[in-house]
Amino acid sequence: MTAILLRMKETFKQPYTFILILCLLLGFGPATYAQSKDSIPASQVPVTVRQFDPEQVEELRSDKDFQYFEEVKPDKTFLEKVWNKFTRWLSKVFYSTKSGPVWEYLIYAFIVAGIIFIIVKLLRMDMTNLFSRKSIESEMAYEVYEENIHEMDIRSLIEEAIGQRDFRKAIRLHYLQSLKNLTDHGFILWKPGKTNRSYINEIKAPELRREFEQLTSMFEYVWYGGAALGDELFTSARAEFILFDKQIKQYA
Amino acid sequence: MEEEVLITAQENKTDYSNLRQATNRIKAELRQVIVGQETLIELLLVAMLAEGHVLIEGVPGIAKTLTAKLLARTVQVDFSRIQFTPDLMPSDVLGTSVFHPGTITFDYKRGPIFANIVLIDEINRAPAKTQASLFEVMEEQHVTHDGKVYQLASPFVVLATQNPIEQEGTYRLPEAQLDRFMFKVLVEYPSLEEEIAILELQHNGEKLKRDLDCVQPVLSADELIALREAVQQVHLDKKLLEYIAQIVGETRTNKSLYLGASPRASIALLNSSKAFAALRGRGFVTPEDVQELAPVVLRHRILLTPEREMEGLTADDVIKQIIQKIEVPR
Repeated sequence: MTAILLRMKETFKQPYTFILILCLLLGFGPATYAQSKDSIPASQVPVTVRQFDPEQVEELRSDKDFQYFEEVKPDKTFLEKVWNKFTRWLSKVFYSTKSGPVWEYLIYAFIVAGIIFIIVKLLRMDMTNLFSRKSIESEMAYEVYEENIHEMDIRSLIEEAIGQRDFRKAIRLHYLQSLKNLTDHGFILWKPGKTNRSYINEIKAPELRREFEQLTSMFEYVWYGGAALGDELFTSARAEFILFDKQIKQYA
Repeated sequence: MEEEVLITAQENKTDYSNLRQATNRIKAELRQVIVGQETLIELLLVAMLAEGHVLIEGVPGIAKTLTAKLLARTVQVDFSRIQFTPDLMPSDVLGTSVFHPGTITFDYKRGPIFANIVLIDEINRAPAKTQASLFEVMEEQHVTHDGKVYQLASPFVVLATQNPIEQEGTYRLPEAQLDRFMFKVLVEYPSLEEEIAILELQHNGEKLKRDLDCVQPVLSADELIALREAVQQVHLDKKLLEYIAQIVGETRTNKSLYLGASPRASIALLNSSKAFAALRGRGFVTPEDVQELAPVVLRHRILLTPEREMEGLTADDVIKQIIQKIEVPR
């Protein structure tokens, strides 16, 4: 401020400058002259006062866009208060200096477990079989089969087949009888999915195995090969089976 | 006693000793060059006799291509080899029309697929477009080009090799094409004894015989066709037909499987079981034949559910479970 005053003082000290400023002020003087009130002509157009449409005003008032007042949230409900207290207690317990980082790790573990649970649920995975194969196998449980050699009355069925001169069927039943005997005496473990060769390999006694191998070949030719058997051949084959069944008892 | 029964059983049946002799001659020729790989050779012969195509999968360097190439050489038929590459086009396989300015006509130039035995090396190196070109020819044995049908000569066998899918730069074969292969044979590394035998040959200066000339044709095309006809005569009991249908049907309802095998798989199992029995000199099929071939026939035709796949289960595991579950017909 002082600097400005000093500059003005110096300016007015110079006469030419002072005259120039004076001329400028006097020169612009007429331009700033204002017109008097009488010089303005009065308007002849009648003034009509427009009224606001009350319905529109009401509509605008009720419009959400023009509601400028913020809704004040009501006080917290009882449940919210309880929840807040609970979370505060949790944070106090987990983050207390005494408890150490163990709780922190536990939280992470819970989060990870939660994510895994969600993924498992989304993929519809069956986690029961994750750590063991046994449970998968148990799912493939054996079905109920039409025939069970341990429940069949094979001897009477053989007699029935012979009576009908169905020698192929009789040979088949004799073979099943031999399999049953081998199972009963612990030479083989009966399972529906096993093949004849599997049973041959299971028999440890070499003599018995050789005999059973021959009988198996005969059975396969008759049963799977569709071979027809005459009386003589059947009698001879039957004798082989009966002899084998006796051998099983001897080896047992 | 047993002999008598056998004679009766073999009455009015085809004699399969010729077939065994022929296949033994082929095996002997192959053994001049190939050490081991007995299962692969046997399955290739079964497929040839059962009019099926074979997909051979294994890591590089285990004589997949060599075995297939040599097998083709043992039969006196047209042979062609196609190396599948990422830029191979269907016309490179099937053939294309070539314009002749002199006659102002387009002539069909047959592709390498027109042969009796076709070796497709590294089939999974080509994209789906080229692989799809094989659909018609593999199933129907003819090529349709410009509205004309071109029949292929019999026998027609496709032997394809591929590296496992995990290998870089390979494409997974479409299910429709996989289904057209009778067998998918997984070739393993040679056993320790076999590897030693290979090394001994190399070390003794005998060098592995890579010269194809040492393998001579032992079977003509007509003979092969006659053997195929003999295979068709192999007896298959109705109980075994049901057994095959049960095995394949179980793949469609099994909880561990997302995709089951098609009826084409049942037919493949039926025909291959007959050929397998004949190869062993038998005129009838046993459940054992079916069980032994079920994995090679079914493994590429089924898809595991993602859960089972994540558990580390394989297609072979599920097939084994299915076989164990279904009662052997007796």
